[in-house]
Amino acid sequence: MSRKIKSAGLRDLIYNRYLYALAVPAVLFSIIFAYLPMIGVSIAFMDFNPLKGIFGSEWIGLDNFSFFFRGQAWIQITLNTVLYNISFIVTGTLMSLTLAIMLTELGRNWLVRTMQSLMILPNFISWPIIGLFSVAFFTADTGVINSLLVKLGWETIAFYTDPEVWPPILVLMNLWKTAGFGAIVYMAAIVGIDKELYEAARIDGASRLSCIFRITLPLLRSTVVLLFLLSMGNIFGGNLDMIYSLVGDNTFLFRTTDTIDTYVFRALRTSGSMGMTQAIALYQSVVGFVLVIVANKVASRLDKDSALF
Amino acid sequence: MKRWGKQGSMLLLALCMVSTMLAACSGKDNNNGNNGGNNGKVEATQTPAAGEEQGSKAPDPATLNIMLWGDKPKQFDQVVAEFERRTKDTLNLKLNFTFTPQADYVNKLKLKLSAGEQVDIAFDAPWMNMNTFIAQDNYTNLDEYFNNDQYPGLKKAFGEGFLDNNRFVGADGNLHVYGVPLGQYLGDLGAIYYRKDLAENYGIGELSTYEDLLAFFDKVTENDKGMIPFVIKNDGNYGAVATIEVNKSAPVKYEKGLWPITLGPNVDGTVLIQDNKVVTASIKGEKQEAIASFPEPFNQADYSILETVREWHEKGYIEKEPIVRKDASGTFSAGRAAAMMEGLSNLDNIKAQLAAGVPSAELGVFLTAQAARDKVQPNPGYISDFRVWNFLAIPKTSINADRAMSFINWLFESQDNHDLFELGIEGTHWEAIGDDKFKYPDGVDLSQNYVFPGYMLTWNPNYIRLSENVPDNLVDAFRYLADEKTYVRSALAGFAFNQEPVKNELANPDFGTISSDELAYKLGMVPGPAEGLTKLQQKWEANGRLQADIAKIKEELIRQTQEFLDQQAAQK
Repeated sequence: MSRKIKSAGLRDLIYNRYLYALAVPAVLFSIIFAYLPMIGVSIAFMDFNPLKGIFGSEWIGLDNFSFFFRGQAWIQITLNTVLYNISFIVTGTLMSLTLAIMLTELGRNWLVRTMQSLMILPNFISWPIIGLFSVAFFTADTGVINSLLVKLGWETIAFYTDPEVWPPILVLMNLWKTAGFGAIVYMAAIVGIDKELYEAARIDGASRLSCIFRITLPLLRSTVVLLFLLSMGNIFGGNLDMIYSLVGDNTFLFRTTDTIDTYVFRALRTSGSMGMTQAIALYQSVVGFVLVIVANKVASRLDKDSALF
Repeated sequence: MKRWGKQGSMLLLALCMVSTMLAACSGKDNNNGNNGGNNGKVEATQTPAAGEEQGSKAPDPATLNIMLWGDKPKQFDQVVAEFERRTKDTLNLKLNFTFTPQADYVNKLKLKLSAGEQVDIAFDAPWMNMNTFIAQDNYTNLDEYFNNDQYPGLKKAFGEGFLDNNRFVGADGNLHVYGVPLGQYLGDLGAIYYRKDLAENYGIGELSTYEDLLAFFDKVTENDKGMIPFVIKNDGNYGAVATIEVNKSAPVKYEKGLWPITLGPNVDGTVLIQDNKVVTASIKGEKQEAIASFPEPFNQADYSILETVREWHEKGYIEKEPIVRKDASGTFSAGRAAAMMEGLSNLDNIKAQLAAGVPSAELGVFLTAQAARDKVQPNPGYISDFRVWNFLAIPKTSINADRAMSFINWLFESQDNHDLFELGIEGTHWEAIGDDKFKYPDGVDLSQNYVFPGYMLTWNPNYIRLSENVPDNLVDAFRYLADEKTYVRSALAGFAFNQEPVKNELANPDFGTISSDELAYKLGMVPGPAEGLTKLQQKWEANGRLQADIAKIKEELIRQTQEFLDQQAAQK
């Protein structure tokens, strides 16, 4: 049996050798940059000593993992991380879809093109820069928003001491930065939809709205599911650059803004144990991996075409 | 079946790749092993430093890789070129400096070492990575090089007493020199830099007492609405707490036998020593009852300083939300604040920056601590283990340990050599005034001039040059700082806490939470500090895991300190 498989594989390899040769660069790339570094995962189980390296350091089992669960805050932090990512995924997808449909419905003219460019622009501004600007908006004494509120005769908001205001702020900021860019993918998918479908619908008397809900959205479903599945992998990721730039070490806001990444970053900033950081990264990826598999299973149950594999 | 075939061939390819990589890795490992073994032998044979005495024959050329942190100083290459020119015939060394941003420094150092790259000299310190690396036996034992006639510069600049204070417990359990100690003074004087021009406008003139300082803040809040009277940093250091604490008359802790000790990042302890016995100890975050047996008045929590901070907040001396103030120093030099606190050693920088930001401003300097203004000796605020803060270490993988030490030897051989790296090329970057002062040449653009942060390569008590900018009354302050009598010798001087047995307990992230919980109060941002802090204390006490970890660390702390005291007593 096994011999047959082997020879079949070899036969295939020889028969299609030029086709396989085309794949070599990509295969090499993923081996070198994605699979070989996985050896480093073992650091998570070691008392890692850089001079002795991966093969010389002492194995210590799960000690590195225990540090994260030693603190009291890990449940809150895990919850924050997951809730933020879910709200980012849901609001991001809805907003990107809406933008994409609106823009394509407007046709193609200079206004649409300009708007498209303006929407993409925030994606290229890095979080630390946004963080610096945000201070000018949010501070108590001189912030733009509070000055405006005072002028209107309303009560001011203590942005940097009130944790409750941050979840909406972070969701809005994330939308502003990523939704425009995300819309591009959907616009490309919409362009790919057969125009004859719309013409046929029009002839049958469909309105613009019913075209959107009966044709565009159903046909976008597999794209939406695909992107959703891909983003599931990062659901335990902590958005360190975003949250750290906006919130920094502000203890008042930790209750609602602390995520796994910011927490680990603060806890290990001075000691810098590579084993512990690796352990948390492994924990995050394993959970992400499991979630992708589960979500994919669910997706393929519901709709075979949408699943990844 | 066909699918399996394809995957099989890919797997084959992958395996080939992996095996070649592994071969490369293990090759590297062997090398490391050899180096480690060689180190001892090289010392016994010819040392290149001796080349200088032989005179005629320069040693083979070599390149030293040196890791420092921060930004590369301006015109640094010129200084290195000058060094290489001067020592071509004696040391014959090329210097390859790598500067890494501070936040990434430790990680980069570790990555370089784990990748097998040569690092010959690394800046490190106990507050960074040094204790861990010494415990892991990654740094070279430098005992041989000191007090050795082949290294006259080291012998001259580092006396036995200085070295004794700066030894570390090595992997073998004995004290050794693991880093070249760098430091000028045993402490830095906190100073409040303020706008003297404003103080004169208000009719206060030069500040000389704490009352003057408060009056100055009052006047600023009254007269200059847009200006922050006292800008403080968002991490709470060099801020309101530091100012209030040292101007408050309080009983002296050490006189009652209470000694502070740092156990790890964010983990601070206090040990009560009476008659050479460790009576008890307490660790920040521990239950209140832990300090019940401390002598009065230290047997109960004291929140009075933090209450004063809150008063400052209410009076408007400090900002409403200092937590978002990213650059306090920049705010001051841009003219948006009337005062700030920094170390006295930064005087030159601050003066230049303020002159650039507000040309009409005049800088005043007010020594923050009452004891420092009165030149009290010994100063109860300066409990010292007589250890410097920063070191240069040599990783065990370095094949150039001897050459690296010969460079450091050169650096401390004479004032001239030392000044080349600390101040730059004489005549171009600075001019000497007598033996112990310097000035910047006229017409030099200070913002482009060579400024080297000496604490990571050159600082040494024997080679101090003060800036001519230091006014005469501050020269006294520097003398005071340099005088050993200013410092209280800690009962635990020479003791280094071995973190290894309680490593996992020290890594409890809630130690970080304690200090971040407290930060809000240090910045004066919470009303009613006494109640708030009492609640915090209850929260920490309710954290069972934290209390268990603290108990274990404390047990270890008492055991280690008592062992140390017994050892000390036995030696006497």
